[in-house]
Amino acid sequence: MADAASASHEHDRKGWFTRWFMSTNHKDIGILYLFTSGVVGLVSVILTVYMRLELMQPGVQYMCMEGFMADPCTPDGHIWNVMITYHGVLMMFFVVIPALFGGFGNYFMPLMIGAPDMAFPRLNNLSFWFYVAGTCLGIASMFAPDGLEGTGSGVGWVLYPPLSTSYPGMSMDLAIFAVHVSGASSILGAINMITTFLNMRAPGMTLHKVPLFAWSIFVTAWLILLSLPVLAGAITMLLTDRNFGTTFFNPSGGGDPILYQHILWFFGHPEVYIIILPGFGLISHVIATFSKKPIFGYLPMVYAMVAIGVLGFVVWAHHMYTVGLSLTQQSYFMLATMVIAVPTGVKVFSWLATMWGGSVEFKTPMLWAMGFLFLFTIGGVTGVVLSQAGIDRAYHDTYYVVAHFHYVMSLGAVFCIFAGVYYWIGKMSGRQYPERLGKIHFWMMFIGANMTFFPQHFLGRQGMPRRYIDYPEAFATWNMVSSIGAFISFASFVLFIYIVYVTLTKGERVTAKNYWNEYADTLEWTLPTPPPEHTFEQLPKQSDWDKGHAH
Amino acid sequence: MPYLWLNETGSPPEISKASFLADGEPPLARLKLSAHSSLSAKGFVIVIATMFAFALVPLLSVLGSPVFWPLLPFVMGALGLLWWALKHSWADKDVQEELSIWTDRVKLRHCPARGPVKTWEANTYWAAAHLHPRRGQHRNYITLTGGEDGREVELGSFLTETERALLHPQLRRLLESAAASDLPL
Repeated sequence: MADAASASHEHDRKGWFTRWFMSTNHKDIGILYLFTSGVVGLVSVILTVYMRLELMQPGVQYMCMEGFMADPCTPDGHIWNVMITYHGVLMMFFVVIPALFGGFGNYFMPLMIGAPDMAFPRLNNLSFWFYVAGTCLGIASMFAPDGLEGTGSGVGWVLYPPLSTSYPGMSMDLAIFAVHVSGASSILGAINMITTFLNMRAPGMTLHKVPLFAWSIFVTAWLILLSLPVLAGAITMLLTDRNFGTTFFNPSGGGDPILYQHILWFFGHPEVYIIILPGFGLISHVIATFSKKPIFGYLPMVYAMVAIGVLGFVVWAHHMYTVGLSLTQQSYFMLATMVIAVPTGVKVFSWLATMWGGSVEFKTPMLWAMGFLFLFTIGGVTGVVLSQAGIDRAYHDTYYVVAHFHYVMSLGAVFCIFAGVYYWIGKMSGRQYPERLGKIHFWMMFIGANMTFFPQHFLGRQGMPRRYIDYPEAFATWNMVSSIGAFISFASFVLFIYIVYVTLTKGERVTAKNYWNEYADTLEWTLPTPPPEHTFEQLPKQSDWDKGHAH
Repeated sequence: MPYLWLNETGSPPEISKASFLADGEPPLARLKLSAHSSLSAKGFVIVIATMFAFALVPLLSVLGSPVFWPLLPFVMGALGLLWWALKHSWADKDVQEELSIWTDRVKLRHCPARGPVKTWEANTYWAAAHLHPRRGQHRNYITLTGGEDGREVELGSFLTETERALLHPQLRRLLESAAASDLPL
């Protein structure tokens, strides 16, 4: 047996490089994920600013063959295609998942279940650096030659063949590698999360007592583990089709390009739930805290997440109503898709019921949470509209779809990230954010993002197709409004960077373990602020986390 | 099963002065302590079976097409990784301690997750269990003293503080009565 511990428990001090570059500590890795995804998010947002700048007026003013803002200008559609592709790839793989699942998941899931760290700390480090490597490959791909006359691949984030298999240059291969490496990172991360969740819960914490955020990370990890290997297989076939003469997706050799779409969306639909589910968990805690009530309907909330996860695997072809599915197939995918509205409704109404009769306090995290609730519901409703195969005929590949998925993702998932940042930044850093600036940030983003995306519903209904550099003059008004909204949103993001800077350098110090109230009742609020390097090396007491009212 | 007395009742045995069992005979009392891991064997089966069932959804839908083969290693590879990870995590948490008490001897075996087994022995008369309400980061820390090599060793550092608080009086009473059984009647 071990000799008894000496009374003074000293740790050797780690240097800055060792701490951040060789970290195996789940809290440090969570912070690394948050900062890295913030940087990649900035890159990705800058691409959108360029796109909205171009779309502000009909005609092409900025993306010219002759160079930026040349006069006269020959439109360069390739630059446009590259912008939409890398905005999509970066946001889908390198921004939202790393922030919510990698960042908050790593930092708070082990704390909430009373685990001293992740099950495999070094694997955790590997996941993070795979993510960084994948990001670098993705950015490199944007500047690598496409084999024609430009740089970057303009194929859309879905990488559909035959376009993706016929681009001759190395840019496309780099993009595929980027997705591969990020997929490996996510799969390893998911296995780590699942193992931690299953085997390292505090004694007495049965599955029906685990906090909702930890549950949401667990469900998300399952979706990653089941869907990303399929994507890895699919893009490996793209690679061999490109480089080794196979014909998995090439009709001239007996392959089927539509099959790629099926496999891609078998991954792609769970992917959108991978993005939003951790947000669901996070928002539940924020709403309970600032309504000063325990979350309404804990068990239905858990099983709604599980149901959303399961249903996510059987609805993929609603992304491809127009590829020539049979009537029976379309009917099935339409009905299955509409069923998802049921568990989602359970969640939305449970959040509302949590607020109902509560003493609601409009602190910044709560504003973001309520903004999320309102906007995610709008996005969900347009989702039900789009789920109808008949209506989708008219809306397919129009700006209506763009508006729909930005409402659920840009306004849903991103609002969750901000809610989480404001909710936990004091806990993570020991310094509190400036409340007034946080509120200004919220209102700028809320107004800006709505101005950007709400008019896109109108544009879609008028028939404006997505993924084009230009549009007829009839669409000019709402595009102008949308662009102004995008600039306001971007300004709010710059303000956010300033807020984080101010908080970390000059923010008011917080030392209270729980600086909100007793309804922030998960285990991270029993720790000192900021938490020490090592937490829960001794198992937590059941009374610390088992608040009968919470589940 | 954080800690368990190995006898019919599962609770600490009563030791009278007549119960004389010296080293070499079956011990008067045996205590087994093991670290907590929240995944049960049944849970492992459910997890692997669920993953397998869901992994079949994409595979069955491309059965018979050449696309099946490139997908198979990735999907089954992920299943294998999960299997390995859960088993490995169990092994990481497989820490056990066994305390055996005779009239004239106390032996403690500590089996860590990896590495050699460590042992500690003491004469029952000198062995003592102490409860430290707070020591370093530990609460209700149990240590044993009186060993032949003079070391002070910990017991059940992987238990919860509540469990250790319950265990200590049992242990103390048992050590006292076992040592007393060595005295002439």
